[in-house]
Amino acid sequence: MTPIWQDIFINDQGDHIVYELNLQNPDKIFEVINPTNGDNENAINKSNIKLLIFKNKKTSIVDYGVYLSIVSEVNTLDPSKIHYKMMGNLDGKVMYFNLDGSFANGWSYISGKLINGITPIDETTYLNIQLDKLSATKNKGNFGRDKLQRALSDDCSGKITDYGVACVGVDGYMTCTIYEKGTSYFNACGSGGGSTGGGVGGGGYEPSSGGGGTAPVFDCAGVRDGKAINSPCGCIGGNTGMTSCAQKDIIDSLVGYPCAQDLVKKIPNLKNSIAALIKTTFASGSDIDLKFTVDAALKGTSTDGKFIGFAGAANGSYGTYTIGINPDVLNSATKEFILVTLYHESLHAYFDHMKRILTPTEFTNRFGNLSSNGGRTLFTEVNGHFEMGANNFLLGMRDGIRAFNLSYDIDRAYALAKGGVVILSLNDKSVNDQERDTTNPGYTGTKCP
Amino acid sequence: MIKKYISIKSTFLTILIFFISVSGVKAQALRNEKKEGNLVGKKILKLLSGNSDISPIIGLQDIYSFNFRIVLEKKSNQAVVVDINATDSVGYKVFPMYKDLMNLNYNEVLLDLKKATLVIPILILNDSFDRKNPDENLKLTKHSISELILNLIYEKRSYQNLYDDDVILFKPIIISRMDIK
Repeated sequence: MTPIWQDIFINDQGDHIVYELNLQNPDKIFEVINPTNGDNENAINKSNIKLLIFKNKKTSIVDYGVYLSIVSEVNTLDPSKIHYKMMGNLDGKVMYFNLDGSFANGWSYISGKLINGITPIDETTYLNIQLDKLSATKNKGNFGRDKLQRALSDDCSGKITDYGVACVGVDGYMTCTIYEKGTSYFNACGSGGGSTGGGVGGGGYEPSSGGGGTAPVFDCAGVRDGKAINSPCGCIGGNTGMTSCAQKDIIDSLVGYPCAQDLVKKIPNLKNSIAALIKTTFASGSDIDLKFTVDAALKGTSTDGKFIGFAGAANGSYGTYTIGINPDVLNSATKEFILVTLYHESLHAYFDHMKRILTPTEFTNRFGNLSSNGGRTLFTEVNGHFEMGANNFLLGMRDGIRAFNLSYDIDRAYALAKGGVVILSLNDKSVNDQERDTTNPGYTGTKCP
Repeated sequence: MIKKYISIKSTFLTILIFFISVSGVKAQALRNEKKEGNLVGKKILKLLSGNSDISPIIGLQDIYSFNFRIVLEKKSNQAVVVDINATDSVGYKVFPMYKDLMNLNYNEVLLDLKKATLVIPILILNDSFDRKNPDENLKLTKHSISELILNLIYEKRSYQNLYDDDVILFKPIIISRMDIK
């Protein structure tokens, strides 16, 4: 979720100016309180998450930020009518989360009127409350229909399912997955250590001192104080069962071309977005391999390389994607040119793999206006997004060249990235020609020894 | 004459249904494949998918379907490969390393059987996508689909013996030629 900076609501609140930002929510992340099966369809329209930034009016310094989550329990929400401490006719709950995702505090509302404060409780307390309720429910049976009913208290405790998003990819075309990050527990019946409900100033965020104790810290597996960490192959360590990213193969079959072989080793590790895609897909924790070979059939042609195809399990869960490189390129091009060729062909393989393992709908959801014919990327223009779609990958390849050789001219790097992707200007074509054949003058890249 | 254009996905679905129905005949086969899928199965996949070479068949047929048949026998309590062959000679060209299949340990596959044939279905989609075919369709007739599926499982032109022997069906392996430049 990213803030929509143009869509800001400014709210003067005592010592602070509160900047309220709506968030882009392409993955439709939402919050559910006491989730039950089947209620998610409607819940998404009853949830809204905003980012609040608290700027100190005296010091002009941002003191803290917080996520504001509004959950209506009755009507569909209109986010434009609800602001920090101004909840309109809300029937539901307002929850505040620290920027690390931990639950801070919250409030219950009925018809816009503040009823209770909500404070975090730990899991043990929550479970004990549930056991008490269960016990009370069983005892209730002893009273019988015609006898005095035992009154059960209102449901004070509850749980919040926290959702997170794990993303891999390049800007604008992240591959994201929503996952259950963990569960927070709360007591929604009164004062609970924070401000009492309904008082002056109620309804707001209470930084960690309000609830007593510091906010809990969760690891990437959603475990409080857990040891799991984020890595290029996802969340590992802690109780995930994964101790490391099992290194898989990017297979080098470029025997006789040591310069290119050295680059094959580098492509997943250079700092750029395309390298991250390659590393995640082909070089970590999966049974999918990427193989670079010499394609003698391309010798003497203008084709620098090609994505030859896939061989493996029919469902795409296991196999090898093979790429062929023109021996002319391997013999005569600069390292920068060879590198961008490796990246270019790897992207074809990446998209083919995605096409293979995702349903058409999933593919569209992930890549939006970017469509793929087998593995060939087609940048179809939707609402003027052509340039953005193309540029994300072009810039990734450009950055890959620069990560390899920072002194290489950025415009020339961009010209190489555009080769074979978009129609080149005469100048860009000249750059590509120069870097492709170092037997001619003009190249500025690194010549293979 | 109306030509039917049947998508690859439909074809795979048909194949899948066929596999389910065939493998239902031999519970042993399913049991075995599940076990070897974790061990020797990955080695088979790795060996075949990582060493295929379709360059000898570029420009020839759009689709090939055949299978490798590995005849296993238990000798001195060990699974031994007594024969290996491809039902189409194109298999030897595309998988020049196929004889390395003989060096794998098939004990988990054979289990308590004295003799069995491990059948590895191979489907090669040799139709390049370079023609910018957006729908990824192939022209297939009912007859060609039937033949395609039968050739994945049986020996060509001798389809009668599936039920005579203990046959262990392996996961189908696909080779998809792309040729994207």
